[in-house]
Order: sequence, then C-alpha cells, then structure tokens
Amino acid sequence: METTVGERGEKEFKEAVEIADEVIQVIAGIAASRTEGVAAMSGGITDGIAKRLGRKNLSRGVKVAVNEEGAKIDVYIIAKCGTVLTDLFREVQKNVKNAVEGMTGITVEEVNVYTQGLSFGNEENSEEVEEEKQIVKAEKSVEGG
Amino acid sequence: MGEVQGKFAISDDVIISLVSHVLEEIEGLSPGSSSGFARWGKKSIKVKQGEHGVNIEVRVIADYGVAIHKAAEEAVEKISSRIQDITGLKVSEIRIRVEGVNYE
Repeated sequence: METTVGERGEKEFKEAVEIADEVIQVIAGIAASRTEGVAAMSGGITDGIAKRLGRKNLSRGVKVAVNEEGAKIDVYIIAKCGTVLTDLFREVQKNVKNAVEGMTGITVEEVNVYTQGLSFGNEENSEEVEEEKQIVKAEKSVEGG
Repeated sequence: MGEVQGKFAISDDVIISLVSHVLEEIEGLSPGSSSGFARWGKKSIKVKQGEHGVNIEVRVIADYGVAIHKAAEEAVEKISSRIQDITGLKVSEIRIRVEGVNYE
C-alpha cells in the first residue's frame, strides 16, 4: 500500500508523491527505538515469547494504517525496567508523531503503544546474541570445511 | 521556397540522464531498488513518451530525518522545468515513489 501525499491537478501536468507504508513503519520504528527508556522493538508475540529485534528490522514492531483522516500507528516495544511507563508512552507517542509528520507531511491521528516486555539490563540479551553468533560461525565452518 | 521538412526526436535515455542530473542535486534522496553506491539511471527512473507528453516515474529512498514530501516536491519542480526548458517536451505526469529509508 502506498500513501499519496502530494497529488495536484491544477498544474499543466499531474504530479504525485507516493510514500510506501514501509517507509512510515521504518520512520516510526526508528523514532520509537531512539526514545529513552525503550530497550528494543518487539516483533509481536511469537510462540509466547516477545522476540527482540535488531536494528535491521526496524519496520517490524510497527503497524501502520493510513486513511483520509491520517495515519494510525501501533508500536510494540520492550521497555527498560525502572522506566515510568506512563511517561514512556507519552514520549514514544510524541517522538513517533513528530518524526512521521515532519518527514512525510502525513497527519498522525493515533499512536498506540504496546509494551510487550521488560528488559532487566543487557546481560541476558547480549549472551543470547553471542550464542547466536557462535552458532552461525559454527554452521559456516561446517559448510566451509 | 518552403521550409525544410524533417522530424525531431529525443530518446528516452536523454530524458533519463536529464532527470538523473536533476536528482543528483537534491539532498536526502537516493535511487530506489538498488543497493550501495548505485547511481540514478534506468533502474530507478522510468520514462514513457506518449501523445500527451512525457510520463516520468522515479523510485527513491530517503535519508532518515529528511522532510520527504518537501524534497519530493522540489524534485518534481526541478524535473519538470528542466525537461521543458531543454527538450521542449511537454510533461504529462511526474510520479515519485518513496520506497525506503536510509538509516546511519
């Protein structure tokens, strides 16, 4: 789906600027994940576990619906423990709205923030990542040798 | 004494290179549907010449932080005036498709 932000007919030619939904998703995802207190974006509940997603998947954890009135954006996050969540919601809403409106000109009607997990420091996560890296390396060496 | 008869044609490639040249001047937009150090060209710029004029479609990737609608607007203005000035062809439609965002 694409959103047309600047269609004009009064000129001697037709012009249209179309912004793909994925673009809005990525913008919202970057804005949300940069917010202080957000540990990561969540890809939704898969097998009952809120999976953490890396930076390359910034469009995940964000749902976008655009109609004539504007955009409705759902953001799924994992919050850092110790953050006041009500304040965090406001911050995320504000950042997402400002980023999307500033970069696309599309009015943001609604930003829903879903907290799907809490993060207690980084030890647990970094270990998981390390493990994954080692597995990948092991697989590569098997393939190579 | 009549005027000399003859046709005058401008190929799509000429239009593509004109459009590429304009787009290089616009900050914050890079060619879509390609990776890395790609340059503007046939892959990101489609040109069709019809009875009503030239139809141009551009696929772009925007840098994070850029006001995309404003950059795209600027691109449309510059493309249309450059084509009409240099080729004399009429522009019937310019369509900018924003496909992705560059981050970092």
